[in-house]
Amino acid sequence: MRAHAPHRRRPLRPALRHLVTGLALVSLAPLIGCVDVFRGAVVQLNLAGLSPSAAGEHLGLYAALPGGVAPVVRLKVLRRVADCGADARVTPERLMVQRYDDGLDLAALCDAERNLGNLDQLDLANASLVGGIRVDTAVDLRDAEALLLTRQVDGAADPRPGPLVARAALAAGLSPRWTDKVACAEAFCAAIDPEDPLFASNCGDNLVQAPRARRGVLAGIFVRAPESEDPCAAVELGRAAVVPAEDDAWL
Amino acid sequence: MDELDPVETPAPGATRPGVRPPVAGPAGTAIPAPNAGDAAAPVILEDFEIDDRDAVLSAARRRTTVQRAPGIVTVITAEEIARRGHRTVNDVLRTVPGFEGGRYESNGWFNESTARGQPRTLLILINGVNVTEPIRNSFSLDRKIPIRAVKRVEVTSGPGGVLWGSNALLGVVNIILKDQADLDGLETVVGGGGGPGAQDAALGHLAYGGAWLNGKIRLYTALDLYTDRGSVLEVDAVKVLGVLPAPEADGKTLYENRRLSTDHNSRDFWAASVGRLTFFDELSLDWLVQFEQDHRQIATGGAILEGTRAGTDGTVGPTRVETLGDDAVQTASLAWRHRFSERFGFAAKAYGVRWTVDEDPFWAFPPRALAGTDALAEGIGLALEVPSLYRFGLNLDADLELPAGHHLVFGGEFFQDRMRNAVRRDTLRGRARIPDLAEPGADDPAVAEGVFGPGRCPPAGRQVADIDGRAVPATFGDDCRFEETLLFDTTRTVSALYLADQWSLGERVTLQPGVRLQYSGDYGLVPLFAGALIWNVVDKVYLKLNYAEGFRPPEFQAGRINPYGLSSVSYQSDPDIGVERSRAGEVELNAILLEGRGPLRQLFLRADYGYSLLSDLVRNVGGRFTNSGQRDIHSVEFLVRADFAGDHGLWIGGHHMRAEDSVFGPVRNFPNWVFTSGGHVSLLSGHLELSALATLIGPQEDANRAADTGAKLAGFDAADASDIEVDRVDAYVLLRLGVRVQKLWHDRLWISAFVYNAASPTRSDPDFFFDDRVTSRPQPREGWSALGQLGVKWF
Repeated sequence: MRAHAPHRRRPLRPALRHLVTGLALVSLAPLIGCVDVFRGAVVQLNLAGLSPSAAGEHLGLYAALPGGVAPVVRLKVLRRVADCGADARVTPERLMVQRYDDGLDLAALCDAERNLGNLDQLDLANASLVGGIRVDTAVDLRDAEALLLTRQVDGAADPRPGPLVARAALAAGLSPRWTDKVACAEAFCAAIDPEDPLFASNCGDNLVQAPRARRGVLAGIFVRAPESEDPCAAVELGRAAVVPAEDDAWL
Repeated sequence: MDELDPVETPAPGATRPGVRPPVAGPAGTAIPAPNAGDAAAPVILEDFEIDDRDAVLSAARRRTTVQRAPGIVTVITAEEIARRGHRTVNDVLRTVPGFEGGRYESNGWFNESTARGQPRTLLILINGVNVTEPIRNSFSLDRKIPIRAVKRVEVTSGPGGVLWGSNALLGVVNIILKDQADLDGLETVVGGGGGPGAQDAALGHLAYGGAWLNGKIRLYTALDLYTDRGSVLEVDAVKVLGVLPAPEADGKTLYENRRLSTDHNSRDFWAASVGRLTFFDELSLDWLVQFEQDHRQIATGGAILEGTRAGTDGTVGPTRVETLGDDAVQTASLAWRHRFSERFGFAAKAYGVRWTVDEDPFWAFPPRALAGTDALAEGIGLALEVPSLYRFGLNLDADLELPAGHHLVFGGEFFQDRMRNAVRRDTLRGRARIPDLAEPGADDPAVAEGVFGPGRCPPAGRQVADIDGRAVPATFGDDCRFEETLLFDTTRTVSALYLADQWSLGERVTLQPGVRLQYSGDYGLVPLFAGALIWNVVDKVYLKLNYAEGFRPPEFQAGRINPYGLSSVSYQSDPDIGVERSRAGEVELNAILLEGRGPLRQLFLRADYGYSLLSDLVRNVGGRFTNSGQRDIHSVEFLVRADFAGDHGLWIGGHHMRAEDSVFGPVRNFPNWVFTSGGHVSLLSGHLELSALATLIGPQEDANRAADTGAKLAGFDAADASDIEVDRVDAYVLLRLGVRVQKLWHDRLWISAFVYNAASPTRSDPDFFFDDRVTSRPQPREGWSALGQLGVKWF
């Protein structure tokens, strides 16, 4: 026969009561996760058509937010061989994008730990397709409207943006610049003689089309400043993608 | 006799000579007795006579129960492993709340499990020995652990640093292998199966258990072999050429936007010998000696290893290559334990672990015939080999019962990790200057300066290149192939002392404080603290409040990798990198209810909440390892298990997690929620058992580069860094169906058949580290497979 321990004869109701109370407490616990959420961002850039930073100057990357402009990072474009002393016999020249801070000499600025990437440089013959800059920032960029690239003076205490070098309007998934690009292409094709060889290569089936919108990013195309009144005359300097710190995978 | 009463239920093997029946623990909890020393006294460490899912060894480093253990504990027994058709420990962990089993990292190299959504936060123990590999703090829980030789898997959710030291950052998985108590006789198992998830699978298992001299000498040994031809994996875009891991510069990736499947898998093998030899119940020798050959057909996300090669007649045809990996593990330990009195017991264990790290060839990109360049004519393939990677250690543990309700568990640990001769073999793709080979005065500047590179290979033999003023030695062979140091030789010596107390305050409340001091010249002194309050609220209802800490030592690749190699596939190390820390506060409520009520044998409930803080996380920023940032994790886990009379069962568990990283915000490459459930029904007097297991894995996100940007280069689709997209990996269900026919031929014969991933959803894993660079596409996962087995116990 089974030998019951005395305590096992107790009614279960108290146990259930405690259990329900505990489960209720536990079920509230996830609410703690709703506070103090970090909302930084990752900024990915591809830049071309920029020169090495002039002596005494660097670039500032700012974000235009609904409440104003926020600094994201300060950049210095340096040549890997000419500025940073890499061995030209074995190292191809490359335009490196380094994180800039005041008070550092050139050697310190060249340090590999400050490298954020490179300006775009294609060398398919050597299977070298260099380019791309990555910036991790603590600035919440979910509502960013544009990224601004400005010219800044080294060591200047003024944190405000300097003269504008380029601007990239941002929109979810697809740069708003594509609207202009497609409109310009259509206007070009409407104006050109269909017999013109340029028509065949740029119009009809070859008419430029906007790529599909990409999920989870704010996209932009940098246009050199000052921007022309005619959007079709704009000069593009590169592209930007901002990965906001969204959590869009709950369901 | 009422077999529903756990107090009276004999433990498996309780009728064997030398094995005593279970005794009642405090508050009526059944604690199976040891078969060594005094049965009523607790025995520290592994007591392999336990085969009960309510008993646990690793949570308190002595035997206790799941309900009373200081921590969130789940135990999976051999019977549950067989009943659920688990093939690997990864399969086991997929069914444990708070864990995710079987995630691939970016190269498809490791198939690991995670705790609380965080990669490489698990301490993996085999029979209590830490086998977590020190180069990457990882351990693939694939076929290398022969699942049929596993007696039980004890899983602790949350840090476990005080008792277990290194690597117990967010979880401890103690894999306890079988011994003679599990098999008295000779058993063979053969099996086979197929399907796109595991092609042409076959397995064999031979095990023997015997005892001599009235059980004073006992032996269990098993040989296990598993083989298949891998999985058919489909990628949605074929990567032709892309960037290599940082610090190699970021850049453009070229794709072919077409779907392609792996269909050139060579046969993979996993073979293992497992055993335990015990003398006089006090001295035991354990071993796991394992070998493997694992081929992979996909490299860095979507770089399917099928390319093109130009023939001698100029025509271009397809070519296929495979990566061949071997990350086997061998471990052996010699343990002695003795109870000097009812109050004092002692155990000593000396052990050794050897890891194999051999990836040869290790393909990044397959050969590709490209117009205008032969840069990819031979592809990008290298080899990584660490021929000498060992851990030797000694554990000394004791338990001492004191007055006033104290029961101390204390001890020390000493071990040494040794790594030698880690090399990398690669081809010189860039330029290198070898001053000793310079020919001053030569017309060609490259010859005059001693510059070599593609098209001009150095002579075979050891050469010393000059990189930024540093002498970089390498041994060259033919065709610009060379071998160089991958990781610097390293010896890491670690010593630790720990003390934990189980302080009973009356019958219902127990306090369990603990402290550990661990020191290594490599990372300094690491103090760790823990504390638990366990309240037996009423009957078998327990409330736990638990605080625990853990740490992860710097992986060798972070501090010891050679940053000045000729190979472009490398990282930048930081020899001063520090440990990563974890701290967690947990509350758990568990209960065993409704015992013997109606058709119910038992209803087990568990719900818990944990807040974990990871700090000083090691990240790879631009190819450099550095300590930075922290991660907050909120996790809620639950498990409900109902056992019914007639040997039927039903269970459901799951977790909900939210993690915030101080660098990139919400951690999105792991599911916020996972639900897993299963059940079995026993028919025909237990001869037929049907089972099902379903795991619902919530959506995740993967930071990819879009393969279809519309931009073209050299005829391929081209994607840049700014073409990043945050892909959504939708929720999916993994469904497993099984049938077992058992108790045939005088209970000597059984047959089982399982279908895995029966719903066969197209699925993929996001990048393990939420990287947007190396892995440009999600890692595709296998489809369905089936496996049938037949087992015979001959005598």
